[in-house]
Amino acid sequence: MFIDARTLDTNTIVQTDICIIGAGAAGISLALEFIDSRFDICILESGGLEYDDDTQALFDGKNTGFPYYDLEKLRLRYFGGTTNHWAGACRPLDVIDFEKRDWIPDSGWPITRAQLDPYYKKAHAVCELGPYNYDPAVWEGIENPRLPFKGDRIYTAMFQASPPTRFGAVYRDSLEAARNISTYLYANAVNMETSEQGDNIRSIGVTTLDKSVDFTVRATQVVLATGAIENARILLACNRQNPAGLGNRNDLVGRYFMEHLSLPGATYLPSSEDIPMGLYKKQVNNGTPAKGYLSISPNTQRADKLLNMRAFILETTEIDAMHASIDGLHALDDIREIMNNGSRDDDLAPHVSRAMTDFDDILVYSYRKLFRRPGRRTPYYLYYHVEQAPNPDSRVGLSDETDALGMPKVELSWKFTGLEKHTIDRATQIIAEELGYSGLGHVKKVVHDPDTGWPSSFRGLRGAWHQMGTTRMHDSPANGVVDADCRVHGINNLYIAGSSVFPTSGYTNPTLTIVALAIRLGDHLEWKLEKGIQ
Amino acid sequence: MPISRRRFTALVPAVAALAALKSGIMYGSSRKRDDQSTTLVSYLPRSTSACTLGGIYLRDNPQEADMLLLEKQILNNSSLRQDFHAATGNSQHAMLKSLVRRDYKSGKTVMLAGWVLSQTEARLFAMTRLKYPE
Repeated sequence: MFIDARTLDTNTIVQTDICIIGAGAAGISLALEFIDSRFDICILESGGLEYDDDTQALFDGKNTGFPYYDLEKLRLRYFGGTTNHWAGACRPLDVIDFEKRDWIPDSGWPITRAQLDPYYKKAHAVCELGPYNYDPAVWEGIENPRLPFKGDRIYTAMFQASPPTRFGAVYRDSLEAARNISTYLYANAVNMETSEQGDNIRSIGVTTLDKSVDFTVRATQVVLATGAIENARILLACNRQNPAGLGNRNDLVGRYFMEHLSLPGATYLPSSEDIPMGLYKKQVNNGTPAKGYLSISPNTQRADKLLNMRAFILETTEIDAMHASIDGLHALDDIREIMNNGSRDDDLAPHVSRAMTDFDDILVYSYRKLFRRPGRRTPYYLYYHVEQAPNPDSRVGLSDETDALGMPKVELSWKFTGLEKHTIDRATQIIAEELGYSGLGHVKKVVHDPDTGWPSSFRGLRGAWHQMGTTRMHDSPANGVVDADCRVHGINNLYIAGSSVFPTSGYTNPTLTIVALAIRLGDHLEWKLEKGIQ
Repeated sequence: MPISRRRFTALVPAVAALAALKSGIMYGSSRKRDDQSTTLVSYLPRSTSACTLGGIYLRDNPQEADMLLLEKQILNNSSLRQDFHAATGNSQHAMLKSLVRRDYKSGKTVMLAGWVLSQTEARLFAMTRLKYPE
């Protein structure tokens, strides 16, 4: 049943077994587990069934760290959440992603990939994917074999593509028809009141955007599923009883914000036009779209102290490849951005200087662009998605400004360690050596900005739209916000669903893991309710 | 006016280098033995970009600006040199390819204008630069 919260009487009290705050991939996947069970489920969704600007504006915030996307446009705040505009790429995290890696501080999950595998299989159905099998052998054929590497430092891996499943549209009817599930639309959770000891959530204060209706939800179990930025924001903002916020005794909530670094890392020139690249373009096999890419083997990650990463082999033109490799052209892009938007960086001088330095290359590029042979295709981009190392200084906090509901807005500070640069540099070298050793071609590295040390292609706005890590999972409350069951340390009935619980990010798109963890959480909550455990 | 390293790098015609690598002339389609001073002359890639990349290599390694020295460093032990000289054209080509792959496998690479090249490839380009300076 769907209920427009604006039609409720103020001071309504909703009593339920589980209250799920947020109806995105995590919240909906969790709710699906309880369809027609004997437990009552209440979903609180801030938005309606369609996008609206006023609700979306509640995501507004500012960024004081490495340049990032506009926080208001980054996610979607209506039924279905950000799945309303996700691209659909899916793959489980690698086994090594769950391991404690000595060279990556704060790495290691309290659960293993093997423990999550059964839930990944179920998540495949939710995300409308093919078989739970990512072995390239399933996807390659005589016409599209994987690249024949002679060494073992890099390998071909695959991802599958969801249609993409728009969770709001696909699962709306099922949830609406479920007799035990009530979805409250336009219902914003603005406060959670705890017991005096602070170890239980007693009630959730909910309000509509126009503040015409305030009501209360009392739930046996509460699940916060509003995304990695918003989960931290709500925990921090629930500070009436404890100034530090909920679950934040050790000052960990909001810290360890992670994204996937996303950038053209290099240019790859095959040694022959005959080298088959079909596996590395999106293809459909038995109805499931999939695509191959290159990754660094776990043993090499260990030996070279690397983060995990992947390199898509993207078809491009010689002109595009030139554009990626000439810093002066990036400088012109920056100048254009500043002139158009007046943002990102107010100082034009350094960009003009960069453009002037590369003036000769810009002229060559311009000439080639004007007189290029149409349709000529030669090199490929190696387009990277790189894991970000956990960093306590990369964080979501609260700003002094408030939104229309009176809640503090988000202040994001995205920061890196040195491991990301090391990984980009070293992985490029390894890929170049392995391609050369295998006689498959040559690699040209991207020019590095002499001031920042980053590849010049990493020009600010370069995340993969994947926010993770702000309520990290760890067995110890000293090192994590939630335990292995995704329960907030110190609060018996408060759980977190979503990528905010990821202690490390791997390189792969997070949605499949978000869904798998939500299904796993469903099993846990069902067990807990069955046993009558508070 | 002195040319800075950065500006010099910027002057390198990246497109020409790309085209040269693509065209697969790493070991030269021309096998005409027009210079007997080194055995490797017939395997030198004759292209502007090879000259350019070779020039960069020699700028960074001026002590190697000698054809015979470069050949000695590519065929870097006596048995290899004997085998190479005793081999026929196709076998010599295969041996050079093998040297290139061995370089990559062992991480003996250099970066010229952004391109990651094997030490052997870079030295062949340097020989090209010396052989065809214009």
